[in-house]
Amino acid sequence: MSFSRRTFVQAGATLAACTAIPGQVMASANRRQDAASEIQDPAIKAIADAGLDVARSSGATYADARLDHLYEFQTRGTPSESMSLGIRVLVDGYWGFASSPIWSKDEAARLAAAAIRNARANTSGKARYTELAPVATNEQQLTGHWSTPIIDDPFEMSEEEIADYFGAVSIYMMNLGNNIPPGAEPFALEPNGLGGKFLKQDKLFVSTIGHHITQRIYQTTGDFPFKLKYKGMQAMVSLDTTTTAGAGFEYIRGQPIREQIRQLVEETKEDMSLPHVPVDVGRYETVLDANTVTSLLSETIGVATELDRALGYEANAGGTSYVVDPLEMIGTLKIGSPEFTVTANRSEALGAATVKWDDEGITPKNFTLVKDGVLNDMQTDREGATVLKDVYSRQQKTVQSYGCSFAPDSGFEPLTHSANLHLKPSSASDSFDSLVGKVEKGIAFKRGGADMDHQQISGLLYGQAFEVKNGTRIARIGGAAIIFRTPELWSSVTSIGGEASAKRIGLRTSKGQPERGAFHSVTGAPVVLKETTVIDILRKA
Amino acid sequence: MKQMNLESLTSDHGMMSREDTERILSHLQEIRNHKGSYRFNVSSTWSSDMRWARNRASMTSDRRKVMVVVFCEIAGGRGSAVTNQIDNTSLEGVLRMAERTSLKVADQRSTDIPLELPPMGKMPNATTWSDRTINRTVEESAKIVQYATSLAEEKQLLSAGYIESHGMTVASRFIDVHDRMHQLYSAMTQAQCSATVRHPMGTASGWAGLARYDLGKVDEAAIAARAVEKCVSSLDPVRIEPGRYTVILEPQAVADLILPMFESGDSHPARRGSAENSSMQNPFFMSFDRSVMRDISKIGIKIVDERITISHDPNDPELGILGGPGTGPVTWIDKGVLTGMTYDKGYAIKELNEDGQVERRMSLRMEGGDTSIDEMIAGTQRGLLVSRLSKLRVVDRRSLLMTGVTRDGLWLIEKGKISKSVRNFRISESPLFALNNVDQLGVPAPVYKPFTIPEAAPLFIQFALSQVIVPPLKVNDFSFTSTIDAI
Repeated sequence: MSFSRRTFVQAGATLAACTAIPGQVMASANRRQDAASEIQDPAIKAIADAGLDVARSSGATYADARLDHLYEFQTRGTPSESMSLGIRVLVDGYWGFASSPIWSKDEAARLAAAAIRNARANTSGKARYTELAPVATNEQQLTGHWSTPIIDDPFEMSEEEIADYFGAVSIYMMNLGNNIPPGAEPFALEPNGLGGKFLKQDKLFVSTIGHHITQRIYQTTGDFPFKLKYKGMQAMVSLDTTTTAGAGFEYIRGQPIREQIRQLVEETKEDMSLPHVPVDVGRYETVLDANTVTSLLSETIGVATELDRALGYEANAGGTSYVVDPLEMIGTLKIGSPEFTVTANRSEALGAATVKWDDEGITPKNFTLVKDGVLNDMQTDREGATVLKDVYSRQQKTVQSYGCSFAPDSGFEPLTHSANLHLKPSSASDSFDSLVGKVEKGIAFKRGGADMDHQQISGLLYGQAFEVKNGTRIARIGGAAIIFRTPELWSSVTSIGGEASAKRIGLRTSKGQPERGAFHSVTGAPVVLKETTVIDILRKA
Repeated sequence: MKQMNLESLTSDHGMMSREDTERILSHLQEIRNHKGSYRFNVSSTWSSDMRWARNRASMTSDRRKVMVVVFCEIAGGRGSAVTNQIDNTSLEGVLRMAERTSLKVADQRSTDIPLELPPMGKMPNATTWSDRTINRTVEESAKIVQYATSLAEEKQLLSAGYIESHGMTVASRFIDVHDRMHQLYSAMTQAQCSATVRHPMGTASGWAGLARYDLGKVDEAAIAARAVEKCVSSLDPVRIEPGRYTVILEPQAVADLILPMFESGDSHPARRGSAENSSMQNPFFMSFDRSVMRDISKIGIKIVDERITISHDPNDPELGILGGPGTGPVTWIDKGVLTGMTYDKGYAIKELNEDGQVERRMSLRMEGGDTSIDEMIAGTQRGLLVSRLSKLRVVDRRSLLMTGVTRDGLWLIEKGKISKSVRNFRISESPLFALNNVDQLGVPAPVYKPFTIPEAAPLFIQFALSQVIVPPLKVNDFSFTSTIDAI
C-alpha cells in the first residue's frame, strides 16, 4: 500500500525539513495508491540518467541504474514502503555498485561516482576480463512497460476486506468439526495464523545501452495452516495451493479454498488413521508426491544450475555446485533417467519469478536445463553467458543471457537466481495414489523437503513417510529420511505422474554476500524412484 | 519547504547524524494525533563491501539504508508501519498508517509486535563503535583482496571471499500515555572478513573468517593465509567409514554446534512460564505440571558437563557494550547447571515478584580451559579434527538433535598426529549430548558470526549484534552418519 498520495519525484528529490510541518493536513494513508504510470514519469528516468551521465563521463564501459518503490503488506504484520536507487558500473573489467534510499539527480550522480571509485579500486591491480553477452537492440526490447497481470490489486483493496476474507475462512475451519453426522469420528480444526502476504514493486531500469524499462511486479502468498485434532492425535497441516505466485488477491480468492480445506482434512484424517511404525532402514522403491518433487527440483536443479555457483562465485556464500566444470559437463553430465527433462522460464502465468525483463534489461528466454536426463544448459546473466561461449558455438546456439538476473530491490546488485522450473510430466495420467498403487513394497513421502550440502550433491530428504505394501500406504513411519546423491536420485526415476498430478509451488532460495533471497515457481509431478536408501533420522550413528 | 540537511546521509560514511535522527523523532512526536503510547525507531546503516571470486574482485559496493519504524498503542489496539523515506509527507504517512491500524485492530492482536512497550526509566545508551572500522577505504579493501588472491594464485588455487565494513545507528524514542518521554541512541560498527579457497578441480576447500566490531581485531591477512593453508592441507581427501569418533572441534565448529541453542525461539533457554506443551518441544523444560498448569523448567538442574559455563555480560568489552531493558548480565549455564532463561516483564512481576526482564541476545562467551589444539591432537589415539559445520537443522526439538554437514577441512588423527584429509560427513548430533561428552577445553577465541539485521525492524541493536567467544573442544562419541560428496 502507499502510505500517502504524492509524486515519486517530490518525495525523493525534495527531502523536506523535518522541523517544518507541511501546511496541508494529509487525508492520507487511506491505502489508495498512485497511478500505475508514475514509475514511467520522465522525471524519474531523469534521476537515473543523471547517474548514467556521470558513469559514462568517468570511464565506465557499461552502467545501469535501477530505481524501485517497494510496498509490502502482511495480514497482522507491519506494512512497509521503501524506495531505493542503485547504480552499477563496469570499469576496465571490474564492477562497482552504490545504492541509497534517496531519489534525486544529485544523489544519482554521487552514487555513480561512488560506484566508479569502487570499481577503480581494483583496476590498478590484476587485469580482469569481463565480457557481457550482447543485447538485442531493437526498440521493443529496450523500452516499454509491463505489469504482472492481476485482477484484484491487494494494495487497492481495503485492509478490512482482506482481513474479513481470512477471518471467514478461519471461522469455516473452526465450524468444520461441529457438524459431524452421528456415529462419525469427531474431529476439530484450529486455525493457526491464517493470512496473506503481498508485494508490489514499481521498478525502473536504465542502461548505457539505451534501456528504459519500467515494470510493476506483484507477488501474493496465502497461508492456511491449521491444527487437526482427530482420534486423540493432532497434526499441523497447511494448504499448498496458495504458495507465493506472481499474482494479485484473485489468486487466493479465485480458488475453492473451502473445498481444498475439506479435502485436506479428509486426506489428513486417512493418514492419521494409519498405524505408526518405526523405521526399518534399508533400500526401498520410493514414491515422492508432487510437493516433495518441487522442493527437490528447486535445490538440486534450480540452485545447482545457477552458473555463478558452478563457477565458484558463491563459494564463500551460497555454495558451489556439482556442475564443477560447466564447459565440459553441458551435454554430457547425466543427472537423471531418460524420462527426466526440466525446463526453465520466467514467462509463465502465476510464476513467482515471472517478469518481462530481468534486472539487466534482458527479456528472459525459455530454455531446457536437463534434457532426457542429461545436463543441457545453465542459468545465466549477461556476464555468465559469455563464459559458455565455446559451448554455445559447439551447439550452434547464440551467446545470450537467459535473463536470470535478479535483485530483490535496488539496494542490492543483481545476481543470477533460478527461473521458474518445470519437470516434464509423463503422457500417462498417473497420480500420486496410482503411482503408489504400482509399488509392491516400498516407502512414500508427502510434503517433503531436503537438506542439501554446499555443492547441492548429497542430500537428506525428509517428510511425512509411509510404508507401502501391495500398492497401498499401510502405515506412517516416524523419523524416516532418505540419503541421496543428486544424479543417482533423478537417475532412479522410473515413472513420472501425468500433467494433472503436477503442482506449482512458490519457493525461496538465497545466496550472495550480503545475503538475499528470491522466489521462483517450481512445477513438478509425483515420481517413483527405483531404489533409495532409507535411514532413521532420529537415530545416531 | 526547507531542504533537510542530509549531509550526514550523503557523506563518505553515510549514516544519519544524531541531530538529523533526533529531528525526525521530534517531528514524529509533534504530529501524533492520538493519546497513546508510541515508539519511534530511526535507523541508518552504511556498508562498504568487496566480494571476490576466482582470484579477482567480483563486486565492490557502497550501500546505505534508512528505516523509520512507528509503533503505537492506542485504546488497546496496536499498529506499526515502516518507511525508508524521511520527507515530511512520508513521515506523516507512516505515522498515520500505524495510528489507523492500531485504532482498527484493537481486537485483532498482532503477532509481530511485542506485548508491551518497553518500560520508561533508565536505559543506558549502547555503543559498540570503532572509528577504524568505519574509516577503512575501498582502496585499502582492494589491497587486502589483492593479497588474498595472490596467496591463492601462487599455489594455483582459487580464492573467493568477502570483506565488509559496516556502521549502524539507531535512535528510539518512547512516549507513554502520560507524555513521558525516553530516548535511546545506539551506534555500532562491524568489520568482517571471510575467505574460501578451493582447488580448481574441486578436490579441496579451506575456509577462515572473523567478524568483530573493531577492524583492529580482524587480521585479514591471517584469515586469507589460513584459508589457503586449510585448502592445501585438505587436498585429496580419503573416504573413511561413518560412525562415532572422538572429535576436536575448532572454535568455529563449536559455535556452529551450540548457537542453535541460543538462536531459535523454540530451543533458546527460553521463556520461563511458557505455554502448555512447550515442554514437549523444548530441551530446557522437564515436563508440564498439571497441578500448577505450568511447564517446569530445568533451572537449577545440571544439563551439561560441569566445565561448561556460558554467559553474557553487557559490559564485556570483547563482546561489545550493550544497553536496553532486559540486557543485564546473564549466565545461561553455570558450571553445567541451567541458571538463566529469558522471561518478560509480566512473568517477572507475577512469578518472581520483581520488576525486570531477561531478553535474548546473540552475543555470548563460553568459558574454556588451557589445552591447546595441538595438545588435544597429541592426546588423541584416533579421532577427527573438525574446522566447521554448516547447514545445521534441528530434527528433534526436545533433544535438540541436529543434522548438518562438515566442510572446509576435516582430518583424521591417528596416534596423536594428523594423518590424512578426510571426505566430509553428515552429522547427527545434539549440542546437549556433545556438551555432556567433553573431554578437554581449549582457550576461548572469537569466531565468525556476523550480525544479521532482522527482516523486521531492528528494535535494539543488541538483538542483531553478535560477538561469540567459544573454546575449541575435544568431545567423545560424536556422531557422523554418512559420507557426503561435497568438498
